[in-house]
Amino acid sequence: MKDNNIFRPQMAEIINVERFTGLEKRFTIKLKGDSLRFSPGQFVMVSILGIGEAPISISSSPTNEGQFEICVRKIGSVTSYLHDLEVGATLGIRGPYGNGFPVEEVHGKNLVFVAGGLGIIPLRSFIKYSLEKREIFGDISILYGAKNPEEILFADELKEWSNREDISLQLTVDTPDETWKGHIGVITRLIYSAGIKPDNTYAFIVGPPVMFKYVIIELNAEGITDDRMYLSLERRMKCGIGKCGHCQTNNKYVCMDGPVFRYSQMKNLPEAL
Amino acid sequence: MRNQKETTYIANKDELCSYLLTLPYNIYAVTEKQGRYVFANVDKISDPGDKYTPTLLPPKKYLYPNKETLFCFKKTTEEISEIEDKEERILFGIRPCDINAVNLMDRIFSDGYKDSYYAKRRKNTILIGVDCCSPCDDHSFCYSVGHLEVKEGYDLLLKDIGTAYFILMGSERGKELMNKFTKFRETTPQDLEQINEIEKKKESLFINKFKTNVDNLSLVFRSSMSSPIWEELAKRDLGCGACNVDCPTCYCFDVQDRLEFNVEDGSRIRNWDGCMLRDFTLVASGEVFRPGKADRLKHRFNRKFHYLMNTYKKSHCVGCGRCARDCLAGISPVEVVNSLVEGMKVEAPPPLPSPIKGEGVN
Amino acid sequence: MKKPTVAFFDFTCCEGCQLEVSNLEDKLIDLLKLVDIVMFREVMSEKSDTYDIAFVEGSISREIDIPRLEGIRKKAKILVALGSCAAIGGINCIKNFKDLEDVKKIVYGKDAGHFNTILAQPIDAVVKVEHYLYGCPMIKEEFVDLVTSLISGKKPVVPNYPVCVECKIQENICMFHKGVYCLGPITRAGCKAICTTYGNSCEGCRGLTDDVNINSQTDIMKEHGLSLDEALSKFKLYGGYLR
Repeated sequence: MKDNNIFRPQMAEIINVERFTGLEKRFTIKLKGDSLRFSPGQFVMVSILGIGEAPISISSSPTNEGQFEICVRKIGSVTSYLHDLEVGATLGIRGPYGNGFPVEEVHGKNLVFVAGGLGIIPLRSFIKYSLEKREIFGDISILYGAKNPEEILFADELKEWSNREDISLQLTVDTPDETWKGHIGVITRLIYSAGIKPDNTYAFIVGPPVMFKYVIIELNAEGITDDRMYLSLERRMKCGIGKCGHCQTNNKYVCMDGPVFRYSQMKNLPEAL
Repeated sequence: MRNQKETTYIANKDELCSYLLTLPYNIYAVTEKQGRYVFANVDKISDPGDKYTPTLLPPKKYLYPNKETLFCFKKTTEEISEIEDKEERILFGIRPCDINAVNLMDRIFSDGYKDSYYAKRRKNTILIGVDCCSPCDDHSFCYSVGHLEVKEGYDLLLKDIGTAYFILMGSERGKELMNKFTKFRETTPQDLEQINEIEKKKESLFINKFKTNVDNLSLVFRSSMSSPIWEELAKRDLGCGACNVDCPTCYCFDVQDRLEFNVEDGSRIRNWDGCMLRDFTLVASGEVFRPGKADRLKHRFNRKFHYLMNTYKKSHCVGCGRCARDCLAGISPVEVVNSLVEGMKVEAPPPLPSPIKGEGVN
Repeated sequence: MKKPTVAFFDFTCCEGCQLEVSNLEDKLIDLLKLVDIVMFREVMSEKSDTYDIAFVEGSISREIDIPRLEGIRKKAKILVALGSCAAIGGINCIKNFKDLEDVKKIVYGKDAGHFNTILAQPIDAVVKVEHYLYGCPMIKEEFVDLVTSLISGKKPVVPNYPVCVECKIQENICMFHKGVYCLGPITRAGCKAICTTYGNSCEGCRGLTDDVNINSQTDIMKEHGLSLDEALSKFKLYGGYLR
């Protein structure tokens, strides 16, 4: 490992900002004088000098070299500050960190993506990649649940995906508005009707902690075994590199051993879910 | 037993201490403070004696200080300047337990991503240890966790033989220190005999306070995840975090930005943090991932005796007894280990999760 | 960028926290570069009725305090509780454990009938408060951090762990080990354990952390020779306002 300063961020420039919903914005970022090489499911530490740092998932496909996207909900001081930044503004980046999804392991397999709320953000990186490399994967199903239609992220893209013949996409909301024509209710209901093939299928689940348990039960019922399910966890992080201790869950560092975990290997960890 | 071929020396205590003071280092030595001891900057080294209890704060305060500035910055120009610690220092009188703790911290801070701040301070610090001939007090249990003996990490290790020190050299730097020092002599067979006597006597003075062997600890803790003992301890636990601060192998930290009143100059600062404190697992959404005191106690103990022990094959508690000595609620690792060992018969160990690291990485 | 305007107000208190602001001395010049102080009775005579940030010292202990505080709340974009009395009720709440008529007689003697008094309470019992500066008096460094945080959009640093953490970092001998009771294990840090560092026990002026074990603290005080009544009376010195 290089002997340089692991806490020093690389400076980066915001090259595009797009408001998604009342709470979320998407930022396209370019490192100054370098490009970020990452794999789907990894995260970066976003740094605002004078405010602090926060771990944030990368939401774009790794194939788009030279730039990457993050999608951020305004919730803490770093993300609130970020929301006030405009194109051309500078921020600090460390990373990418974490293991990411086992992309190569699932070449040739059927993929089921289950996203709850903000869970779509890290999954989108893998979804985009799998759509770009459509031929190397089997069936692709995307299940996405949000609280209400306003909180659905990447709406334009979802529309595009829903028109594709080679994937299946289902959306649901807890609380519909008058324009909503899709499913209503918890995401587990989509699993039953998704026509998931039990064999050769891998599931990738990201969402709030409460969602995992029920999604796993339903996927088990569809014949997806625990070793073919991958989850991504969220924890407090101050370093992203296995030192600060905040994200440690049992004997795992979410920042280094995760954030993506194979369910069969974490289900006995009492603190994980 | 030591390698008999290793060259060892004998030096008069006062002469060695006077020599060290002539060197171009800041000297930090064990000093008395109201009946307890601390490491402090000194201009005179006095022999701490055999009975000194471990210092209030461990030597980590020099190698991994609280409130370390990671870098300074200017907010508008985004100019970052790193602060480099340049102090060259000698820590004198450091105990074997604390040297072993430094060895563990060396691994932690160099594994994977290397922490240049720790590395720099470690490189600039000469460790001169003083070996223990008898237990310092009832709270310590270094022998029980396999940390009474120290094999590496020090530059010099001194053994008290009355008015003189028997000196072991643990590094090239230690050898250089001795080479420049003229007032020593090589050990005679009589000296070695005296040392052997002391070592022999130690065997009867230090006992295993645990009702199990140190090698079984990770199994004991792994098997005790749902033990009722954690909830019982939690009733007493103040959650004050003193054990985290005092611990020579607790290294968790928080990072905060500070701004000067001009809102332009600032710094990013690393502070000590502790897993026994509630907000340790607090995330921006307000969720606390380890809200119960019982879970936090369990986490802390498992880190010392199970998680890190599995990774590094050594107990990450060095048995200095600082946490027990300063715990108002009287929670001591010896008590915790022994009650878990006694409670084990009723519970079958859960299956050991296979390592996840390395899998799923692309 | 227009500088935010700042005003200081006081209710039932000793005004020691405002004094601490004026004690910033050399840093006051820097403060004035960041904000316009439009009302600060302790240091200036000018008054203004518009302000962005209101620092309120003191607890609420009279009926007429309530509409006045509500008025400040309406005008201020950000309301900060300045010091123990405003933030946690503080020392004024000692009276809450006595009959209020008796309290008036103790303080005002035969004129007691002319005065109105209500149970003392922190300002957030009446209005919404955005930020808290704890302590008796409040800590100057925390004031600086709060102001710079408000200006820059950073989250102010307010510890939610007990004084023990800072006391251990100072390498003090534990007060209990010296045979003296101490509220450090349950009291919010941020004071750098100033009292225990200078030999006095912690009286709990910064209030409780969000995660205290009062039972254990009481047991430990009892083990060290305090009766339950004595232990509770120590809690009441600053912590008399029960939420």
